Amino acid sequence: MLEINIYRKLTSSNSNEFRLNLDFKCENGITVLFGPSGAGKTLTLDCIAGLETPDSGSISVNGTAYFDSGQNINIPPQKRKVGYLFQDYALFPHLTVYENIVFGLRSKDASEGVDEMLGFLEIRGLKTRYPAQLSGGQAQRVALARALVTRPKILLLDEPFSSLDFIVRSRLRRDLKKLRELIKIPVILVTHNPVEAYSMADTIVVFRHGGVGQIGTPEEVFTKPNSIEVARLVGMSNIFKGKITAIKGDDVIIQGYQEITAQNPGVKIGEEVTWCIRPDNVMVLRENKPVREAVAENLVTGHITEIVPKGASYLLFMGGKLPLEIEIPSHAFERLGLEIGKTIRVSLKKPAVHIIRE
Amino acid sequence: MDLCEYMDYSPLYLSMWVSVIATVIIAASGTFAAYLLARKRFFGRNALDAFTTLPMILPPTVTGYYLIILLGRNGIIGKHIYDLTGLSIMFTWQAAVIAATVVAMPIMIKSAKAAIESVDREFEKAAFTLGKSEIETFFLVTLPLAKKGLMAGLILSFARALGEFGATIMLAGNIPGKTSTMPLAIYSAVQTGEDTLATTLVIILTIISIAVIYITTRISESGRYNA
Repeated sequence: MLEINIYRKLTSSNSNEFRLNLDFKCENGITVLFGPSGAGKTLTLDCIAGLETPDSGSISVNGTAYFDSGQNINIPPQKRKVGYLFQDYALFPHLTVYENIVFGLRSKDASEGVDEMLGFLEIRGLKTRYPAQLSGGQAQRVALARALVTRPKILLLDEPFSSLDFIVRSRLRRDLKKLRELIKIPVILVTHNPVEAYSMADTIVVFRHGGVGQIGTPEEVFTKPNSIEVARLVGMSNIFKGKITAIKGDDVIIQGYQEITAQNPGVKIGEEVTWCIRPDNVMVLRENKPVREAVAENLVTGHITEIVPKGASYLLFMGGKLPLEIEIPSHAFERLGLEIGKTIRVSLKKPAVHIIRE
Repeated sequence: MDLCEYMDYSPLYLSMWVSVIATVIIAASGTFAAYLLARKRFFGRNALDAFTTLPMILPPTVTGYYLIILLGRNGIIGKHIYDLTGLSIMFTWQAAVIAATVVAMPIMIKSAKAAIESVDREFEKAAFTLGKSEIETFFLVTLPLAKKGLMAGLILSFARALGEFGATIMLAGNIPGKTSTMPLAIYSAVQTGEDTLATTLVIILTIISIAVIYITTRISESGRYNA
């Protein structure tokens, strides 16, 4: 388990001041530090690895203090047993793959696990190559092997997928998931990509302005963001202002662009709130068909103003009284025969409408 | 007529000896100073940077004069050496080594600093997280990756040491067979009208200079790691 509570102020020459102020814990499994670039994610990894020193606070891994300003503890990076996968992998260009992997090993007997690791990551055949002769995916697996053979207490991954092509990416995702079962240590993964954050994480820590915006499971963070900013970061692009006008049992009525029913998160009548819904939770209804009871919630009508194909899905922009961004699977798009200008009716299902109180 | 019979080759041997020793000293201390300047933030860093550049800008005779003030029999350091041992470094081959070292050092520091700065810090950080100390990291990672620039700097420093004249004549004098290196011997030969000797030494120095240019170009063109 990683426990981190640090403060670090950075002042750059152009008088921009950046404050990193964090306080969170994470269990074993994959914790994703998610946020826009410049939010302090890599700086956090550097602090955990001991490459940067926080101004104050404490960092501990499995109960071992790595840093504690109160007790004057600051273990040097060499002694922290941290496996660090750098964004550009930082494979030593003058050493072969094998030499890179055993670089961190002290004695001969420690190299027993090397062959096993080479096998697991399927890089046995690359031993004698130089890093310049590797593809992006291969380089990353070599860097991962190098970080893991020293049997680290924690694994840090800085944007591991950013420079890889689509196919290699999904393969590595599976490798990492498999790895998590194999090595029982906390894995901290930094990314600015929401899809990666969602698919990789056991826990997501959302960074905003050097602080923690929200911590939770991917489902929580992606469907129940606690602030407008987090909502935007996780791709919840339909965000509206409204006012609570009535409470009916467990539900509330929000009056904004139009009347919306949502589950009551504990608001009072008259409260000003923000409500939002993910584009993929907007359901486009079929024409000329009676609306079933189950989807008859929050019906909105509008017309399509723009269509953006995204491969497996389509992004629709709906104009009207309540402008919405809608993401629907390609098969549904084709079945519905959608085109620009067409009038559509959509349903915003009650459980999918999320209320933010700020 | 056989040239070799009466030609004195001592300037060539002396020059080689002096330059090789100066280059060895420069290799160790110049690389160390360059590493400090490139990687460390400490008080007086800019002053050290300026101070180590100075001999490149100053006229060599001025550098030589400062060295006399420092190392002469009545010099700031030289006085104590003389009091303790009864010896003075002035007018010895060691003085020629010191003059060559001081004048050629800035070239090494400049190239080595640039070479070390060009090594991505991520590599050093990676080595730290893999358990290597700063010294181990320097020898295993930084040095091999900066090798090209360091070699080029060393060769240029060697060439500069070989050609050193002004500071050498101030500090070591021009004693045939003892401190008369090639550039000094050429000067003397021209003064005394020994044209054959002057020409021979000039040709040797020219060949060495061309070789230096060739080698440094080859080094900077070989890009083994940047495939």
